[in-house]
Amino acid sequence: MQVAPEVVPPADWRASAEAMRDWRLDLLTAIDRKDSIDVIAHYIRDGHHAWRMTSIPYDGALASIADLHAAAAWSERETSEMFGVRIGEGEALLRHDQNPRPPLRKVTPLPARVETPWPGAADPGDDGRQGANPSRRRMRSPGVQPEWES
Amino acid sequence: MTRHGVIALIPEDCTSCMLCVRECPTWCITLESHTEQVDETGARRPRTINVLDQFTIDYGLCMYCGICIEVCPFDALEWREDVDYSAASRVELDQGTDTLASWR
Repeated sequence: MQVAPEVVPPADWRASAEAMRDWRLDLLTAIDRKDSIDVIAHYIRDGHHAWRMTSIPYDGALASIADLHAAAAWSERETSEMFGVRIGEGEALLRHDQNPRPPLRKVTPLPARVETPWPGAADPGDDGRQGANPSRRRMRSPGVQPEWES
Repeated sequence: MTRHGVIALIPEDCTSCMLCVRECPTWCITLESHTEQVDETGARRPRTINVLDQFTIDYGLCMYCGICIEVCPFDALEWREDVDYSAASRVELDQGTDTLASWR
C-alpha cells in the first residue's frame, strides 16, 4: 500500500526522527526537484511503512539523525555527496574532494545516456525505413534532460 | 512468488507495443517489428497490425528487475526458473526471439 510522505520543515527533521525511534529506518535518500532537494526517510515497523520528507535548498544543510537511527549514518553521507547538500557532519563517502558536480543532481549530464542509442526510440511497426513515421516527434530517452543535448 | 531465473517470451502474444523496451531501466531489450495489412472478411478496410521480427534481451545488461514483465499488457513475458544461458563471450549473452521463446 502506498503511503504519502509526511512533510516536515527542516527544523523539525530531528524531532520527526525522534518520534520514530521505535521504527526501523529503512532508507534515507533525496530527490532533486530542480529548485530544491527533498530529503526522504522511509521507516518500517511490523510491516507498516511511513515516509518523512523535508525540503532544503540546493546549498542547504540538515541536522543528522544518525544518533537516533544508526542506519542513517551511511545514507546521510551518501545523500550529501550524491546531491551536493550537507546532512550531518560525516565525511564524504566515495570521493576525497568536494565534487563540483553531484552525480544525482538533474543538471549533471549522464554522457552514456545521451550517446547510447535508446532502444525505445523506435515505434511499433517501425522497421527503420526512412520516412516510416515522419510526423512523429523524436522521443527523448528517459532521464535525459533537454539541456544536456545542446 | 516466481523465482527470477530468466525472462521468457511468448511471441504470439507480443504486439510489438514497445512498452517493455521503453520501461527497461538498463536498456537491455531491443525489438524490431514491421506493419502488415490484414484483410478480414466483413471489414470495411484492411487492418494494420504490427508483426514482431526480432526480440532480444541482452543478459549482460539485464538486472532481473522484472519491470518488463509487469508492464506488458498482454502477458507476453514471464519468469522462468531456468538459468540456462551461460556464454563464452559478452555478445553471446544477447538472447533472441527463438531462445526466449524456448524457455517458456
